[in-house]
Amino acid sequence: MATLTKRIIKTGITTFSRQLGLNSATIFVLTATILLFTFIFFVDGMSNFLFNSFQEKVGISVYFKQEATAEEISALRENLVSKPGIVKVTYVSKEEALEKFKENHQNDEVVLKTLEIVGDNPLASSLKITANSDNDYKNVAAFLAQEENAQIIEKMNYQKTEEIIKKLFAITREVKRIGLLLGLFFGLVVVVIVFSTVRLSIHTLREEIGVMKLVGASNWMVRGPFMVQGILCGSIAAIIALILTIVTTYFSTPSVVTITGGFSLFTYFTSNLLAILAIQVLGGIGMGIIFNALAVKRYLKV
Amino acid sequence: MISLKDVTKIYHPSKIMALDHVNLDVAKGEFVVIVGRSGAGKTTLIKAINKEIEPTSGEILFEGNNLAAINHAELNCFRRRIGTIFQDYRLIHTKNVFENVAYAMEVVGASDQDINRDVPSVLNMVGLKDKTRNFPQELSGGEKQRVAIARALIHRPDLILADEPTANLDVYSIQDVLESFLKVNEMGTTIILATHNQNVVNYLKTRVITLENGAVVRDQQKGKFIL
Repeated sequence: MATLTKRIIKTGITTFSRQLGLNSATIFVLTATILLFTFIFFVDGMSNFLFNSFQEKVGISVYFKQEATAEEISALRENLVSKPGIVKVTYVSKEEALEKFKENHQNDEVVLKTLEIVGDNPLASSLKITANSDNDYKNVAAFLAQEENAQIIEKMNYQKTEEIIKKLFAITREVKRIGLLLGLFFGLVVVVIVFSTVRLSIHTLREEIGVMKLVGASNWMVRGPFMVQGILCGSIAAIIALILTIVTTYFSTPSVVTITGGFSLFTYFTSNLLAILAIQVLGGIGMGIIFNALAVKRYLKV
Repeated sequence: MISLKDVTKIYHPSKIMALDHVNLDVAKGEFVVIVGRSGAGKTTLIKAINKEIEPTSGEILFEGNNLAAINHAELNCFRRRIGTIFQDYRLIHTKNVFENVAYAMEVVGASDQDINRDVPSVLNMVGLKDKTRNFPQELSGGEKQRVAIARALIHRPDLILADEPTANLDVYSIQDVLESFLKVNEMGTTIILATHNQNVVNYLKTRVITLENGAVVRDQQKGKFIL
């Protein structure tokens, strides 16, 4: 068994080096495929980032009556945080609201003068709530409308933002669905292209496979070296894809950060290195082995 | 050793009958020459015995076992006991001369030591000791044929199937090859050799079976070539 394995590996490596031209086509399409899957992975990360950014912007704001105590507001906040589907609940005190208001209107003398005349802080403390889906927002709004909560609430902006939230989530769902379908479609297309390339390169060796079988070689003796070649092609393709990914993410990060408002490709790459390596290395080697084994199979019946 | 019982082979879709109810027994250690014109069915007969093609009807028995009934693993074992010389050489183009011949030994599980000892010796015997690192595409037709012969002999098979093994050889090489065949036959190897070369038949002076339109029309012990 050890001798057979050694011979299979040796034959695979020797044949690979003798057929670099034929194998380079396989390496090229494998690299393209791995890069496509890596690209889909990055697009998914970026779309999640953008989706979360939008989510934060469209949350419900709840403004409290002047007589609402900090304890009542805190209790309501705790209650909200424990509910399913809630992403974040941020408390903004009256003082913070006033500071923010002043900051926003620092060039507007009329507004600032009016505040001085009023004297007291006219702004209310508030909670900004971010949820996972439009349904979660609906549930939150229903919960806040309950009598015991309504007693301390001055107003909330759900009625105004309800339509926007619904539309935004509908658009997001649709974008994700189309993205998934496109990803699957292109993934399938490139997998078919890779398989066809591997099959074509093995088709040119069909007579040799037949000869091997006619002299009594077992299926493993025939298939083994092709699988070793698949491992070599997949590994080289993974290394090329990895280098290209590092270079591309490093140099395109500044422009992507500007366009997306904060998504760093390189940080995403380094923090997901294991997953990306799994896609590239396991994907490349896996496709190399499986496609070679499948392509050889049809010529083994001699 | 080999028995063909009423073997018929019809190629589709042309419906050409390449073998027509052939009955034949070849004993262990026998040297049988199959003769006939081009298209008489010699190659089809060799291919059917090697189980490269399936007969349309009839049975082929190897040591009493019906070849149609053997499984995949048994087929590999059966072929490892045969050395086949194909009319079109069928060398492996990604392997050099040494590796092509060594492959037949690797298949039967020979050690590296045995391979490194026997392959140069057989290549020397067929006059290719200086071409061991050459690839098939760098060889002439005759040289390819000698590689195919070396590959068929190297693992000392029980049966040699040779389809026109001297077709591309010069007169001197033909004599060397035939002497090699006679020598391995003397050591007990059964040989079935297909040829249309009258000189080969007359040189060997062994049993001659004549095929015509796929049918056996003559079976002579120590026969001569008769058209």
